[in-house]
Amino acid sequence: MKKTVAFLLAIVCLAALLTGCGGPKKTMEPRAFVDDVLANANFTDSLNQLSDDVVAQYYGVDSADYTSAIAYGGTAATAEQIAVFEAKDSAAAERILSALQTFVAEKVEAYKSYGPAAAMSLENAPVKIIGNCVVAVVCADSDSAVKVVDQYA
Amino acid sequence: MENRESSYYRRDGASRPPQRDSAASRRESALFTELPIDSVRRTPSSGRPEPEYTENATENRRSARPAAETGRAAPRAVPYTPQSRPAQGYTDYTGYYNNRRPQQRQEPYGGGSAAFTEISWDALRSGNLEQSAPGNRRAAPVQPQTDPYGRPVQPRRDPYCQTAQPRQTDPYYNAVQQAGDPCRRSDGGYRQPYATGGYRAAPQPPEQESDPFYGGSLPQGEAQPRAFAASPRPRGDYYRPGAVRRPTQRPAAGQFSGGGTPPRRPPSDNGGKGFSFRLPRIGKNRIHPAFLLIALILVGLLIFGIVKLVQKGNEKPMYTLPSYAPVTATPRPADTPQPGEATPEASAEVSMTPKPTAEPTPTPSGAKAQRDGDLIVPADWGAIVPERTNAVYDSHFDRSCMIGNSLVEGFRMWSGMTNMRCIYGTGAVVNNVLGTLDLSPVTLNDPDYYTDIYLMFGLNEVGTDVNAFVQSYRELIAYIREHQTKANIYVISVTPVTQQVDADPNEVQSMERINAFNSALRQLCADEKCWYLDIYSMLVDEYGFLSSDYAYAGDGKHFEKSGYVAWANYMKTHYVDEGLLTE
Repeated sequence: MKKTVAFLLAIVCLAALLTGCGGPKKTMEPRAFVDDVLANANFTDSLNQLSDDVVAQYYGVDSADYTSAIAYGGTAATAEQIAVFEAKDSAAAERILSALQTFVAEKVEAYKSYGPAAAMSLENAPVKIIGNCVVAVVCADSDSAVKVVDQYA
Repeated sequence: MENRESSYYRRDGASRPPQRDSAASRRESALFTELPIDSVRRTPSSGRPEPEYTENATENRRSARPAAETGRAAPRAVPYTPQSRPAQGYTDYTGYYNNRRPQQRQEPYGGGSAAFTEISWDALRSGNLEQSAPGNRRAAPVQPQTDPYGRPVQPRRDPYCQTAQPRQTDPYYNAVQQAGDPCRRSDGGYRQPYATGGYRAAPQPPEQESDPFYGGSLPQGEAQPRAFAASPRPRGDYYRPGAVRRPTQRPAAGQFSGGGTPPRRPPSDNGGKGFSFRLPRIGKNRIHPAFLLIALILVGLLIFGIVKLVQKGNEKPMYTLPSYAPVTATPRPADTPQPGEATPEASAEVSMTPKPTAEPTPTPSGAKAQRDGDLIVPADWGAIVPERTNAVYDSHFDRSCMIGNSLVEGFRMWSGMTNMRCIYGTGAVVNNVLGTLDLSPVTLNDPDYYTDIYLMFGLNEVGTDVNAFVQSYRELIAYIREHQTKANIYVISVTPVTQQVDADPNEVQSMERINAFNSALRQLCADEKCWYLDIYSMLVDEYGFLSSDYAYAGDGKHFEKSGYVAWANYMKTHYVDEGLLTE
């Protein structure tokens, strides 16, 4: 009995240890997500929020595909930026995702000769669909950006 | 604890004598105390010759050979076989070899020797030794331990069993006689004494190359009786220094004196428990496997973290933005070139510029503009877009387009003039703009569509030849005019940089080169009848460098949002329309 209890306690401790590494997934909410990224990702540029009428034009996204969007841009000296689009449906999310991937790919080509470090951060930038949102986070420290984005389910 | 001095009856079956009833035990005990063993030996009741024994163990071992060989009368017609030899190499509980006592005591596992023991003790009482042990009579000298007075001595303490009880008073022994040994396992292993708890396999005997039974090496050619197998030293509460190890590996089947095939435990057998692994101890308790597993995982995680830290420490950033010290007020006359900055070639290149300093914004004057067909063009080469008294709304730029480098991208993001089309490329230069930028909005639209087209290049080219730069610019203007015949073309000045960039020898941008390029652009505007939009004068501070109010400190070339906003506001007050002709 004593050994059984000790064994079960050990299993519980091990499970708690392993689950603590991953952490629980956060619920996707655009404003909270952007704040989380701004707080925890290591940006070098000074980011400011883009106006709504600039977002769709700048990223080449059809404004009819999303209900809301939050985007932060830099000074154009770097490629760092944050974009979150809350898509209307899954098909719209796919279209937005495609537009963002094209945007990032063009940036990569432009920065290859201009700034290799920025090009690398673009290549490692997480661009994905999380829930009904499409996110793109370009950060010089792409690892920190990926770490934050991976916390959301 | 005098009742623990006995070593006859251990809790492990290896040294435990065969099962017998308590009456037999009492008879044996009585025999020890009441019947001197010498009298038994020397009083044969059957009339048969008593076997002769010597004190020499080797002689005793050889005594089973035929009589013709030894010259003595054979006590019985039993040929010498390995089976007739006593159990080899077993020491009794007291450390004596078993030729000093009835060997059946030392038979491990007790298999096959119980009958002989019974008969042997009966024979001791009756004196009929020949009937008792046909195969072992000579090999088993009946020589109980006696003191010099012929009294049986108390057996020594069992070195392997600290909890041994005197034979007659050991309650465990009595219980064993009735219910069997609970410590005995079916596979030959034994439970540990009660004090330690748990199970333990029977300790393995040490490997010996010499004859453990008689000592010394056996003759060549004779089968080496490997009564012992390699075994680690008994550990834990079994072991006591100086004690004789208990042999546990059984002899081969043919050598087993009691006959029959003893049960053999496979090496990997763990009593039916699968993998055999002895866990380390902490004090008297063994570590639980789960804790051991967790410890291993933690150690692995620790090693992994250390490796990652080391790897991260070894990584070198591919690119680091230059750090800039705070701007110190060290005014530098813009028209006084510093030693070493202006090369002869550079002087030749900028020879067309009247002076390298930024031109002061001229006072707007209608005389500066004139109509040239559908275009409003400057009246002379110094025609900078004048500041207008009335700022225009954003709608003024509905049919405007700006083509340029990364600064245009920043303008797109922060100017708020979303109605203006912006065509830009990071690192774009004027000499390959036609191959890198998509000018289709300009070339494919109606030739009369755009009213104003802004061009902004130069910051990425200031390290190149200014004449080539101007020539490329000229070709671009011609290309645009070819497709947009009614658009006023604005050439935006090369923007200034901070003092830190200007002082950095690794940077191609210096204020002197920028001023030279701007002078060349002004001449270009005069030649091509374009408007020169002088945002340079708007962005510099009182020292002639990019103002810290607008500069992005990260590189000293781009602007913060405030810089782009100021740029947009400047455009709203510096524009060309029909009113410029009448003002």
